Amino acid sequence: MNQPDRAQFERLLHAYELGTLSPAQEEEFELLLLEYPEFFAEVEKLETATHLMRNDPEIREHLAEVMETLREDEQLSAGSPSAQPLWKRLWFAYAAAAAVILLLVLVDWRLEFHPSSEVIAAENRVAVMYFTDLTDPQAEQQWGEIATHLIITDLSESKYMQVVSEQRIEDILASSGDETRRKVDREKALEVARASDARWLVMGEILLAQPTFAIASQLIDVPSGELTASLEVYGQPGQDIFSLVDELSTKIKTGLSLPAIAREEVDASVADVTTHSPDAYRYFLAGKSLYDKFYYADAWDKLQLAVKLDSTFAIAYFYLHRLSDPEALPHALHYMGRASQRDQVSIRMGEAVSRGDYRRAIAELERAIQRFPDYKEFYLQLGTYYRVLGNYERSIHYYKTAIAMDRLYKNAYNGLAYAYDYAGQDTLALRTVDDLVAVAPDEANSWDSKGDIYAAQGRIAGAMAAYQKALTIKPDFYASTFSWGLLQLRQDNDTLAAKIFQSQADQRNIFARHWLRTLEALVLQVRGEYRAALEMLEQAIHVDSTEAVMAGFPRYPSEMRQKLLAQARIYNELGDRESTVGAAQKVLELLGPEAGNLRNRGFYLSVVQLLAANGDAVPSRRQIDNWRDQDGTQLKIDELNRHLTGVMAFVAGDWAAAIANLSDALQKWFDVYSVCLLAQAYLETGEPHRAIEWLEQALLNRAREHRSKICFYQPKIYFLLGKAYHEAGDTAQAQAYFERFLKVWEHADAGFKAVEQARAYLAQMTLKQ
Amino acid sequence: MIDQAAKNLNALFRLAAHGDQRAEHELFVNLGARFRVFVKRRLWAQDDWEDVVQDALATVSLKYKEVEPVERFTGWAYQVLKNKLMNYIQSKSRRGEIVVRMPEYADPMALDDTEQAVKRQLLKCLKQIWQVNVRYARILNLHYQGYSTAEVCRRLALRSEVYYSVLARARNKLRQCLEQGGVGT
Repeated sequence: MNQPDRAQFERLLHAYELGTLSPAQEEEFELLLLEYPEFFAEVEKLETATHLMRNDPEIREHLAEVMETLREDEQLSAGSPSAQPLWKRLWFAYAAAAAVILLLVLVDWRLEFHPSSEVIAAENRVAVMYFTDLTDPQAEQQWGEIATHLIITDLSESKYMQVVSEQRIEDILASSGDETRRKVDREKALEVARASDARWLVMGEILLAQPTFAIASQLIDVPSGELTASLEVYGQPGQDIFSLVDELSTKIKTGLSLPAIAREEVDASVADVTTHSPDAYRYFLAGKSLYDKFYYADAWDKLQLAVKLDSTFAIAYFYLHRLSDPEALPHALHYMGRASQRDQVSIRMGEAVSRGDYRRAIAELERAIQRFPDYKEFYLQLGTYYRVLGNYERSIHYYKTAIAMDRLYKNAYNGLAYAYDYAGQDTLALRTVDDLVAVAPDEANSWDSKGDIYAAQGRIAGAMAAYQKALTIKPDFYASTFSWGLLQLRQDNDTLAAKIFQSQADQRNIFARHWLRTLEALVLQVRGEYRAALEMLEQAIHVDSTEAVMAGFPRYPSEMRQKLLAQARIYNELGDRESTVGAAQKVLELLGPEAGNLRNRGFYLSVVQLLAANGDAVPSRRQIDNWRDQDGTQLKIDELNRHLTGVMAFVAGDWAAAIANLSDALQKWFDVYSVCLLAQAYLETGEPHRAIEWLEQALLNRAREHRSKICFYQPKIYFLLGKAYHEAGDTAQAQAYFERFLKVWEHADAGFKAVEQARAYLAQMTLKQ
Repeated sequence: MIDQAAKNLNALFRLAAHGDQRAEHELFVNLGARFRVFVKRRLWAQDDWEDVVQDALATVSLKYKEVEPVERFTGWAYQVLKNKLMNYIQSKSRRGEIVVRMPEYADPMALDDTEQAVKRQLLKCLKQIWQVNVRYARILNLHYQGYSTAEVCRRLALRSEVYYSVLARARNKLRQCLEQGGVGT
């Protein structure tokens, strides 16, 4: 038998595999497999897999699940079939038809049918591949990157085209194992275009770069793979890349078969919707890429450089706003007209969020995903904002949608893990965070998130290991350092916690340094060294403020509020009413209109509790009532009021009212300060067991947003538990908690009654023994 | 030394027929591998494959030295297998047992370590293909679920003349993925 050539064999192999050969052909082929070992090796490669696909129940179940998902998608897009009987459906149809005929007869219409812009856009879906810079193989100047992003931005401005997002292209290439999108040949590019359901493919090269640019591009019809047009643009000496991209985009649009109405669209210059500075754009792209990896300090640096070069660069300001630059959002809003339509959605959404209007942000995004259906970041944001509103079902839905678009979308896995955690779905939270680590094992944030999820579920050792892993990947990833340190504080390892915090002393990021100072002062507070803590806080406030001004920020950066709140707490414990109220009111001044922001409500509660405890609750009540009208949501407002009422009742010595209000408020909104007051009220009414229940619950609370506050009050909880167990007659537990309290407060300031009482109780118990 | 190139069955047969025991061992290992592939395509139950394969190999081992000329070995061995298959199917049919059929609900397959590894990789690749090209994923799924050509074409709105080329491309994608550990574009 003669050996067939490779191409012949491939054809036969496919047919054999598909079972489409006749018996005689199959026999002949199998004889080939016996004769030629290299042919058999080809069959063997897929033999096991094929057999599994035909017979393994698990694989077949997966195939069936996939089919079910695809069927659901088809049904969703096609609309659910009507359940009405046929005659009813037809009746309506007849009636509608009659109405239309009547209209046509009675009214002189000249009916013109235009397909909507959305329909045209969907039919003209374009995938733009990375433009290779032939002048710079190492891509040091990144002209290819810049040109690609600008072309995508420019074409996306048209309502009559849909442009596959850069992210989608990268995701498809990444999932196919292609690490770089810079070396994609035409075959690969067509595969990517088909995978993204594009009708057209645009590829190209930078032929010349500064001082004179020249770009060549190919417009390819994806279904046929045929080249439709070769386009070249040559710039004049000194002409920038932005205007060249404008010319190229115009040629590309001409090459597509857009209807006449699309050609009447106003075509803004791409520089007018991004920046006129190539260097600024270069920094912006770098900053955005770092931001996506959660390397905020590095992203900050790049974005700052971008806006230094172009002080009207709206979208760069928006990203700085995301990095907590307090001045950035006003700039982004002011220059919003200089952003692309997609970026304007982001800026408007950011503005709504900054005012705490998450519902408006969500409405903006849900409109935007109609126009930009594969911009996965919008789905991510929807997941985040629904989570803030406490609508975990919708939050999870959108995160999962984002993941369905990109199975490697680490930000979505990150958000989904937290959403599951907040929704109390612990197993799914763990599984999702493990998926995150699997997807991005070399990124510090993955491990940091794992640490958070583990910590929230009380898996302390696992949490610490995860935080440490994050720090081996990126030693200046301060979020992990601070989380790890706070976990140590919760374990009463204050010395170790202090060392851990100190490891970030050389932190470049200004906000991280502010946070570090707050935490260093917290260590002293936990030890009961209140005087030293107040001094440190005072100094830190001054240093933060000076540093902020020198860096061009407002004098009182956001972390300042935490320091002032810490001062208010200390003064409250010291019984210094005037200083407590002074510090707390200063915090409210700094909060300003942001006090009403949903995200700040926990912080706001901490402040107004202290005011209420010192007889200054009335203004807070008025403010809370204002919010009820403003944001139209009852979210946490009733609970806020209950907490405050409980605190005021406690201060007035009305134990029953304190117990009723605080226990009710705590069912819906856990707060450690309220727990301490509630426990004390129960001790006053001779119900130590109830006090124990709530205090033990507080010790077990691992919620991320309560971390610092619980650290502060933890020694007090130990003391109160000591008292409660003593009153309940459980000497052993009482002793244990008093000892724990005195150990943590070994070097506390002199004169604390709690210390004297604890020692007295212990002495008493020792005598009895 | 028997290298890869000499795993040509006829070459092994020649050596084995002259008393080379190592060659004889290699011959039956390689022949058995091929027989299993052929039999798996035709029979469902794992136990049945081995019965047929072992039966065929037993006959080959008893009689192979009588085969002349040497070029007829592979043809002859294949005929032995065909006869064994036919006998087996006929005997099962007489007893009313279903031999060649796709199971609706099969027991979990007993897989060795290599097959488990392939299975893991296969699941991974199927998911990746779904991500990269839904059309390919659908055609693979429908084909291996046992749908007819006509039904697959109807569901995917494909013309029958392009069905095989699309399926072949999808299958190629799966093969690349299994070989390279990821979906190639």
